Amino acid sequence: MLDEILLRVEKPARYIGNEINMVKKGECEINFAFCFPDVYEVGMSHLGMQILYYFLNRREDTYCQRVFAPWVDMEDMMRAHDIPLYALETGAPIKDFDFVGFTLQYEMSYTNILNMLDLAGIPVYARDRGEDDPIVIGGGPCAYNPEPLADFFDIFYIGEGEVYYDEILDMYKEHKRNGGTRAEFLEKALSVPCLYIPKFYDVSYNEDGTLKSFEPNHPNAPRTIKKAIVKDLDKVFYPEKQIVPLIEVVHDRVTLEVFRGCIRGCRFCQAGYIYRPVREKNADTLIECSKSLVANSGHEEISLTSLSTSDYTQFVNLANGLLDLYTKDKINIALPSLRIDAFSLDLMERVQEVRKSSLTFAPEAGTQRLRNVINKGLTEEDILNGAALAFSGGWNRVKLYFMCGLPTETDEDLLGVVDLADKIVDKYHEIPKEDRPRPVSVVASMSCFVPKPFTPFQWSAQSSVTEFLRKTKLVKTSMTKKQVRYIYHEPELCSMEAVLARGDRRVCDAVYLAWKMGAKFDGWSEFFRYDLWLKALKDAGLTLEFYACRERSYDELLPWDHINIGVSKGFFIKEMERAKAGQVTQNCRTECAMCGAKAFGTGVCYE
Amino acid sequence: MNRVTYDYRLKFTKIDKMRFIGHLDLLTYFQRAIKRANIPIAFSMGFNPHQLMSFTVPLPLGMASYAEYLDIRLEEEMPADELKARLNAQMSDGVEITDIRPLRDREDTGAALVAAADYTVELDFKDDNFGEKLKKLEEEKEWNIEKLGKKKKLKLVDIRPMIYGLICENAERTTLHARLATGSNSNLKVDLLLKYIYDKLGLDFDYLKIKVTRTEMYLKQDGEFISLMK
Repeated sequence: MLDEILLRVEKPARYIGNEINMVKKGECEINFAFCFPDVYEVGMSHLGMQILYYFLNRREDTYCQRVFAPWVDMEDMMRAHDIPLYALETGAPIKDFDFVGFTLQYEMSYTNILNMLDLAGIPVYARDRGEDDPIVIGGGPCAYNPEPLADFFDIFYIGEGEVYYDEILDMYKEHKRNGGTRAEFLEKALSVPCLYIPKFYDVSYNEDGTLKSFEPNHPNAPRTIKKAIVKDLDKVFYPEKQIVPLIEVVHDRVTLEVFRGCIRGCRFCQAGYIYRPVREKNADTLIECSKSLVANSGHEEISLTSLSTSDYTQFVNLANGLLDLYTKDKINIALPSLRIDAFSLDLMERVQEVRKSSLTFAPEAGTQRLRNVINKGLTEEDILNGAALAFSGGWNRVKLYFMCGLPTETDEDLLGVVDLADKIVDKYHEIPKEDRPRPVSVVASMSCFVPKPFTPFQWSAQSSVTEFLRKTKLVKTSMTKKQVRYIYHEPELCSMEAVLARGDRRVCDAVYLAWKMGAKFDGWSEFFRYDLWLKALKDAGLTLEFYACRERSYDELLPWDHINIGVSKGFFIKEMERAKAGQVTQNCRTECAMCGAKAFGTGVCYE
Repeated sequence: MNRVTYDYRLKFTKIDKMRFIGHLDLLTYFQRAIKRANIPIAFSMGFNPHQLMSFTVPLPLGMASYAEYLDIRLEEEMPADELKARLNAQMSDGVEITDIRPLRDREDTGAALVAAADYTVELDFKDDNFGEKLKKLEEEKEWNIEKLGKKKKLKLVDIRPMIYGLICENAERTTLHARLATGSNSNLKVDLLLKYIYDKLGLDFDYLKIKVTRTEMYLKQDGEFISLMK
């Protein structure tokens, strides 16, 4: 039956597994379904999944298998023919697994999680699960505010998976051998410091809707849950191979993780804080690692991955080492998130001999004042100099990323976007006419600012949809140069993202209702239904304004206050005040800002 | 510049799950397998060098095959057995190199040579009288179908001359063994043939319920069909 169904859906290879380097095993004591709540091509491009897949499978007693969200055509077929959600490796229904783990990368994938549980035949609410159901566990960046999903998960893992999964699985194995119950296992799991088990906490609310209290209801439940991080990235497990998909996926290449964390401290960026402190890998380790990954995959591209590759202290060694090794084999080196300067341009010239793809700058804001507020170190001079260098090197396309709705933003800041884009065009025309065979193209892309937990802006109000529309229109109508193309995002989607990002436990009901009404693949604009989400919020007795557009006070109890990322709340308050005063905070290497992450005893704090 | 190169023809299966991989993805699949196996493949000259390889006829997504052909060009000579073993070590379940041979001097590519292919077609029913019905149909001299021509105009095409053999067998399901014209000169697609037969016999045609497997490909020499591997 499945074969015939596969012929009737788009891209059937999404559902067959059988890729190169897929792990095959016999019966194992522990079966772990690693679920990515988006379509195959997106999930397969995710480095974290590749790492944890081989990490868990290195255990003889554990079989980790992959699961992705079936596209809507496949979902219809599966529901029509009663095919439960299965794992790609063996085709076994994931309901029969011991663990069903979801990686939480993006708020707008939450309804997909519910949909996948439902397709698997696993009760969506954790409280409805019985002894035959798997333990549902979540991890990844969105787990740092787990509350909007708290009702659906048995456990959240806060931090980096390599640290405690062995302990958890050993504990589970013993528990399973002794025939323990679910409830008993969850109690035992309280001893692992990075695990948050929502059912052991009670929440109460004030009349104005803010949190009143968040209290453990079990003697062993810790008051705060501390994130787990890898101390030494050179020694931690890194896979020698990657799964090589049989169809084209978003990122189809060897991925080298250069470091974790970011020294920059951009005040809107959650990743810049939750992964602190910065921990690097040695260039030699990475080069060794690349050899086996290239040999075992046959990929034609290696990508260096980090939040800001230019900040890697051994970047020159690494880049030269990789170029020496791979240029002759026609393997391309991809360098995302590079700051544009003479060195990086020279390097780009060397890695991509022929193609001069477009250059990307992320000023995020249109004026220096606002860039100081958000602590984006990039100056207009940096950008214009970088662009000038690139133009004289033969580049002619520039992409600019901006955000709209940032705290303290005025119309002047928005018009600064137009100004900056125009100045780049002018810069191009400064080079002699005979040296510019092609016209310049500048793309200014504007997204809507979404305040995130664990950032200095976690208390900030988000612009309303109406405000966003006015602001994007203001920029659009002020654009005059024909060489500048302006792209902006849907504010409705960003507005819902803000609700889910900073939501409390009551938001779970809205997620459930939205899913019940048919919400899925919300991150895909063709599927996102704003009307349906508004109705879901209303039916759950909630408002979008309360979660998205309300400025919180420093003394408000925040839904994620029980999660400890090592960066203190006091630091975020200080940073928010500095932001309001337009004061820049130095990066971690220039001067320690005393954020608190030094307590982890590793990384840049000890360089 | 004349390079000394070495050409090989590979015969491989594409069955089970690998049926769901499209032709372009199969190309990438082989390119990566060749890299992993460290085969000294020759690259094209020019701006964007690519591995020199050529498939005989693309296999439609969903169809199984025991006889796909791929010609590859190497920079260095390699014993055929070693080449086969090294590539097979890199295959996923469902694709296996079953045979391999060096190409003869000046031998054309499979794509240029292929003239016919054999198919096993498992129909979506069992009918013991199907053979009789087919015989009756064969009494008609012309099997005309409507086909979109080059200028998007419908034209009548007689497919009968493109059928080199058609045998009915009653196994678990009624099964056809067909040898059909294949290649750039003359080509008959299995689904077109089946649609004609189903329509003529007044049967509901749902191609996705029918299991088609390609079992061999041939060149034609002195009026005889010879396997591309021979």
